[in-house]
Amino acid sequence: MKIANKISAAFFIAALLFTVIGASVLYFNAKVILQEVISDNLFTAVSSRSAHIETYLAVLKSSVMQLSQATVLENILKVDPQDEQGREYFERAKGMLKKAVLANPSIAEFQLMDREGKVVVSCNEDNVGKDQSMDASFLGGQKGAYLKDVYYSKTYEDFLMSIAVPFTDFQTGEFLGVLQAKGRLNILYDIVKGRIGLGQTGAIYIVNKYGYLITPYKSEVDVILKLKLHNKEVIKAHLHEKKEHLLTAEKKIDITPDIHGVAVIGAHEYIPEMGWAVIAEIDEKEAFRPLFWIRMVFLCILFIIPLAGWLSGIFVARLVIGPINTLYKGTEIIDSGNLDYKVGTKSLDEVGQLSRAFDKMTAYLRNSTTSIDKLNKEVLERTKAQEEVNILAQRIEFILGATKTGIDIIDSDFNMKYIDSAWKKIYGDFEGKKCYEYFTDRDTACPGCAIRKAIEIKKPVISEEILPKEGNRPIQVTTLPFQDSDGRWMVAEVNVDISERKKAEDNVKRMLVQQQEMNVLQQKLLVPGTGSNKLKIITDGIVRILNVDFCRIWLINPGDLCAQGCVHAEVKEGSHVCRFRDRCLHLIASSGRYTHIDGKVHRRVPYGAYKIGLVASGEDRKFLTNDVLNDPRVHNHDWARELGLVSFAGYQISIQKGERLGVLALFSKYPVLPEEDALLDNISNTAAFVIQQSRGEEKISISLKQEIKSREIMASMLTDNNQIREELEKSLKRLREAQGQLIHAEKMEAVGRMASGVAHEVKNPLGIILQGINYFEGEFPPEAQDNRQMLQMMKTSLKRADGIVRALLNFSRAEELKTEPQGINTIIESSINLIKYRFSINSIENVCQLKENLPQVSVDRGKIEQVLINLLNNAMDAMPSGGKIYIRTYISEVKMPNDKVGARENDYFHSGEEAVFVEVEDTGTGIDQQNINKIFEPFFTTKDRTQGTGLGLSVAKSIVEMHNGLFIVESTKGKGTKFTIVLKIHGRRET
Amino acid sequence: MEGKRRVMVVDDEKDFLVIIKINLEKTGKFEVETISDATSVVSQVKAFNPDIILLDILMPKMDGVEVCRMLNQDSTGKRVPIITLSALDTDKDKLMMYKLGVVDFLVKPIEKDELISKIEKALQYK
Repeated sequence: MKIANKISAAFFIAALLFTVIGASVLYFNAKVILQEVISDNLFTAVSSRSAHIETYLAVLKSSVMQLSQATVLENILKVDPQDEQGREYFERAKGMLKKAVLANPSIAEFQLMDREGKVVVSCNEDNVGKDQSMDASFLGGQKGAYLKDVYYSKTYEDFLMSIAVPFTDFQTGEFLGVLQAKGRLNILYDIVKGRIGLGQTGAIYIVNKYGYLITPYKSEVDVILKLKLHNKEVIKAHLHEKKEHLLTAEKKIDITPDIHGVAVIGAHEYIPEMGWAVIAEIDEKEAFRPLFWIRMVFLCILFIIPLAGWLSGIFVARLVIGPINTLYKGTEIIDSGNLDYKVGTKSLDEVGQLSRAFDKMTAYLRNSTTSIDKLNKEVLERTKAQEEVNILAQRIEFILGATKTGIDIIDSDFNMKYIDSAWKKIYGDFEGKKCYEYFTDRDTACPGCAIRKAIEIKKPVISEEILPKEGNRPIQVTTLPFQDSDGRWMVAEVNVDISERKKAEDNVKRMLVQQQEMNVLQQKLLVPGTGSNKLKIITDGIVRILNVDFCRIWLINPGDLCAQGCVHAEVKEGSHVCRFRDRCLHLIASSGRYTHIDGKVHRRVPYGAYKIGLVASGEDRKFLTNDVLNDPRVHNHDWARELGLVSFAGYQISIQKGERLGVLALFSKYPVLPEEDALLDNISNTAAFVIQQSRGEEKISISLKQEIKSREIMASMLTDNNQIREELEKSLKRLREAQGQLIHAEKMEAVGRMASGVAHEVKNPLGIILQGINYFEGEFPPEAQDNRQMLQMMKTSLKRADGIVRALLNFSRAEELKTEPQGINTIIESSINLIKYRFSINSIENVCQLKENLPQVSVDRGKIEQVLINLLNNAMDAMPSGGKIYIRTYISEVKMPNDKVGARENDYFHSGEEAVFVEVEDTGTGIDQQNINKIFEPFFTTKDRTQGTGLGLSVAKSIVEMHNGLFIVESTKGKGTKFTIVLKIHGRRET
Repeated sequence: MEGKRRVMVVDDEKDFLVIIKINLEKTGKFEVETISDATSVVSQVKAFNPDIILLDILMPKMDGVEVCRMLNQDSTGKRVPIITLSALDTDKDKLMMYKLGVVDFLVKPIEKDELISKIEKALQYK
């Protein structure tokens, strides 16, 4: 609210309050005074009238008493009025009475009654001789002066009052009679008629002791002795009659309604001799009319004075606020940028002094070196830049949050300068903290600190760290050194959460380890043995490799123990009734917790009953649950809970044409993961193969025996038994090779499925991140080199990750070979050609010693090129300062000790077999002996993470082995490394 | 929206849909509609009438192959060129999609500029 309004409002309110209070007080006082005046007037009116009336009555009484002294009247009472003297006295008395009446116009009649009450003489001759002995006047007049209240006289047809006095003998005092005067009321009427001081509505009237009016009432005349009043004044007046001490009671006026209901104010005076009440009234409205006009005046004053107060307030406010407004307008003009404006007023008061002080201040501002425009422009620019930075920061935060990447900035003294909000939420405020305190609770910098190294070499450093405060989460830290605007070195760390990658790598490693174990298992299965032994090898392998609690294999055979006490044959009702006697599940192999196979209950399971029987008979080849404690399909939850079992898996063992052979089932304390499920599926197929093979071998054995027998029979008939045996053995060998390839293909298919799943889950987020990087590339201007460099590094890392995934996919697809016979030298030359530019830029001399006319080898050209390029790149990486790479091809015999060389069925080469050799040898740094065995492990690398995925050699080895070749490494630290690939000659028969 | 080509992107990765829409619409050349539920593609094609469809292959409810088949059966979708944008790039996958009539087969992650170039080339094909 403005000050002017406040001032004018204050004046208005003050005036209003003053007026209201003053007017109220004045009005109250006026009312009191007016009431007093009215009271005085009324009481004066009734007092004066009553006094007048009393005087009149006294005079009247005196007149009568005086007349009662007349001798003439005495004489008439003593003589006989019939005799002559009596008649004379009668005439003289009658004349006297008439004269008295004439002398007193208010008297209507005098009459004299004798002691018996007989009228002796009267002005009205008609009354002479009447017996008035019972009249109140006679009876009252005998005792003394008696005033009779107003009554109606039929004789005079008027209202009269009577005064009677006793007439006594003058000398003896003997009672002679009563003299009565009958007076008219006109004097009373005249007394009460005057309304001086009572206004227009005032009235004075008299009521007798019975409350009847004896005078006219206001405008009503014919009310005498007819209208009885009960108003308050009448009642109060007649109280005086009862309580004489109230004769001088308080003179208090009351407001009561008159007979017409009009509110009147009244006062009374009591005439005790007659019992009369003299009452004066005035209408309340008329009496308090002055108050009405006073109220009107006060209302006008109530309006005028506050208005005047408000106007005065406005005037005063203008006087006070005017200079302030001038000052305010001046500051607005200055605020808009016009520093030349002068605010100062000429007034000598405080406002004037303030305005002159403003002028001094603006002059100072104007004289400063930086103009307001320039400052505003600079502020605007900075604000805009800050807004853009904020928006960019928000976008970066969004992308960083989506991609689980964090950024922090640290100076060369390890002081934390910045960390993005997501990490700040985890680690808290960083002000004043060192990075090693902040992230790891250490007291000193970490050993091998990447910050020191990055600032020292002024190049980015990539490292991997573990975050103890986040449950040892692994992150990849890219430390980027830069200088701030003051030339101080700082680093920006881009922290990428690699826990998923690590997890994926661990999973892959685990899967590969499992796969290797499976390979071993497969190898063992290739060793000749009985079918049941091989099935036991499978169950042992599953227990060991997948760490399950126990694993069993049942085969479907005809029921053999039904009649020999099999417990299942005894069940006659329920879901576990054995309905088939021609087929039944026989427990063949058991490993883990339970190894016996000849128990009472589980050695046989009815076909189509229990989980095992249902898997065997069902269209669904598999039953898998990771919640055995709650799965209703599991029979005994208590037993499972007791053993701490979590999962159950059952796989139908069947061949491709649909023939069901049996069931492989297991219980475990750990959930069966999807990749393990795939592995078990594969193993069940292997088991089917083993069973088929075993049956086939048995059949072959039988047929062999038959054949041998027939040959023995035919030995005498045929001469070339050796040839037949050889053909048979070759058939068996080809069969086993096919089996090995099939198993291997299924194994790789499982790996391929797993790799595809991992690749899909990784490449999709990579796609999102790359699009995000593309977005920011479009946002940064060309001159924002640091930002662009950071984005480029992010892109490089992303592509490296994509490369790893691709290599993983390729690794899993290594079995997809498209082989055809071709010359190895041609492939080598094309591989060199593809990367020849690297030879020149790295100062590498390429020495090719390729044997001509080598026999062809059956290979997948693209894959072998991949292997050679990988070896050549590794060789060049081992010679950063230049060197030589030797590439040789030749034929030689395979003689070196190697687990794939020998006379075993699954050996790739026989010892002494001729093969094509390819050597790639460098003069580089060589490989430590401790690492030489690890170089073929997936993800193992001695290079910087930005330069290698660690999959090259493992993929290369896998490719060569898929070609049934050998991949051999020899290395001497400091001298160099040689890789040798040994490939089978195409079409060469084995000796 | 005159002059802008309508691109429909079908992928179960919602973050990818968001970023692709931003990047493509930022060029001012495209109006992008994104779909995460492949089962609604046919109806959305009729409503949006795209000039080209970017289609992921591996999706949970219905894969890209099935989507292609459904679009081929539906007369509205048959004329719209389709580019598959998948995380996997096996020859088997490529051959199958080419047989279903896709005009190009792209592998994630892919650069924005390369993607835009492929889209523009495919639109010429339309």
